[in-house]
Amino acid sequence: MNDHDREKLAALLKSALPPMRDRALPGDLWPKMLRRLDRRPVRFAWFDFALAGMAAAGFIAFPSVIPWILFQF
Amino acid sequence: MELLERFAGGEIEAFETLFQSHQADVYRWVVCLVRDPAAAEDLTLEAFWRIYRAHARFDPARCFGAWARRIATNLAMEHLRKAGRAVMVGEEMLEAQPCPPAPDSAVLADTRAALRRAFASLPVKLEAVAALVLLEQQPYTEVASALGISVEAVKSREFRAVRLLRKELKEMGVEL
Repeated sequence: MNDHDREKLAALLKSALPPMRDRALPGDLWPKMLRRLDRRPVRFAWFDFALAGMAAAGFIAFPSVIPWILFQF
Repeated sequence: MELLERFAGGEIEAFETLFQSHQADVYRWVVCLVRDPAAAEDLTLEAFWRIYRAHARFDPARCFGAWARRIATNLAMEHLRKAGRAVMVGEEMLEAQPCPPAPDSAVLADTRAALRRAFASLPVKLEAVAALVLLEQQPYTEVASALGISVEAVKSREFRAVRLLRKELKEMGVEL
């Protein structure tokens, strides 16, 4: 394949599949983005639940640390 | 505080500013890849949704535009893989952007149809490079950055795409 072949193929491709690079954005997408941000529920991963469970188990096993932790705030 | 730092901190106003300034670029890039305006719009929104979710991982020293384009490219490639052949190869696309008539239009019409079929048969990785480099004339460096590969790898994929296209066309009885 040389540059000439490549250019010829590229030109033919462009005639078969019109380039899309000049296609304009169909309006401002921010309102749709906002709706999507509002719609998406907060999801918790299994890791979050595991962490919360470990913390709860820790407090049950060692209740004396609770005042110490509260003191840090 | 800088805009990118505020975004990395999760500030929605900073995200909005970045969204407004980059949505057109991301959409244009995605539509070049998937060649379907409706899908490109959805993918642009999904890309920004992922960008927003990943704000904490964003390094404000990096270029936001390149990062956004990379995320959008990954999504578009995923879409192409899932859709099988999401490239719009139908006649309606040609009618939407008509090509200038040629004197030997009957022969050209056959060649174009063969090319569209050959293009649709490319593996997604090669199709993406063919669409961006051959069709859309995007610079190698930008394509490489968006795909997360080297410029040499882009050129290699382009070479393989051209070779495959020529082979497919030959099998369809079209000589270039």
